[in-house]
Amino acid sequence: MTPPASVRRTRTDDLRLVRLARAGNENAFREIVETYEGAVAATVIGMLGPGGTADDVGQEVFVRLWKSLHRYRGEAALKTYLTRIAINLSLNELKRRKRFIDRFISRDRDEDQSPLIEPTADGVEAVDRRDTRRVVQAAIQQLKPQHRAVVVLRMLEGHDTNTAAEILGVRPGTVMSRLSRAMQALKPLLADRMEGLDDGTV
Amino acid sequence: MTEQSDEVLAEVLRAGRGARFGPGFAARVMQRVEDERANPLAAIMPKELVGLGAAALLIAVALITFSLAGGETQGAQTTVEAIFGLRPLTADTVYDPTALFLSEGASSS
Repeated sequence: MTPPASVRRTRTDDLRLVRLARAGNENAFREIVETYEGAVAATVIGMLGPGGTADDVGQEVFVRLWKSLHRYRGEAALKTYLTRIAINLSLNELKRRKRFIDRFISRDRDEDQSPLIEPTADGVEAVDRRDTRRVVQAAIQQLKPQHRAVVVLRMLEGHDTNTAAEILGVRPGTVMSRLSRAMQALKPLLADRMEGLDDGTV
Repeated sequence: MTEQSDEVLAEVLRAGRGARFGPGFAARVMQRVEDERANPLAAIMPKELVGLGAAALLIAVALITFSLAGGETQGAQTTVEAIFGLRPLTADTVYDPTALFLSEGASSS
């Protein structure tokens, strides 16, 4: 089986493409977009759920990369660099949504009493249970943003703890504790799926 | 038990991988980049500059109004003139605008 392009690609390949894109080569930049579209989609859709906003944020991730091509020196892998932009933009979008909800929907919600699982309009119950991906995405949307980011990076994208910590700008121990809490929160939300998996019916 | 359930949960989460953007995503990105390249100011105007521009305009109008109100008589130096170190607006400077930017000694003829 042929591995995906993002796996085959080396940092040298990335640097070569970045240099070409920096020099104005549109095909090189398009190749970067096509290569890492999947990784950015996994991050952004994992953080925000599917839909138009995720697509807009995904586009913005690559526009930001294009604007900062002259700053990229290859210290971090391009995938890591893009994932960091994607996480930051997604967290900004979640903050914007939260501000909107706080202002127009639930003015009197007590911050200190906010639960680990944040209520959203479309809960897991509303999602077709036969569609595992949608169920998983809906469950992840119930987590607090910081926990969501850790689950997306560690469980969906498969980054190791140190890389996830580097992307989020926190210590590896923080990643591990957030992941542990997030997993505990996800278990009741995905209990049906977990049982189905045990039965071999998923 | 917990480790086992963690492993099962991890497997469920892994089954949730594979989200993609809609078709034509790369083309939409390239269009955005092209828009930015063609008109970088317009691309950021809606978000960052509209509020700033409106505030700057208000401040300018307020400053000019205050300045005009402060200039009691012809020949008195207004606030704007004082800020920019300009000579007061008089009949001389109206007919010879360069005199506005010259010092007393340099402008004497």
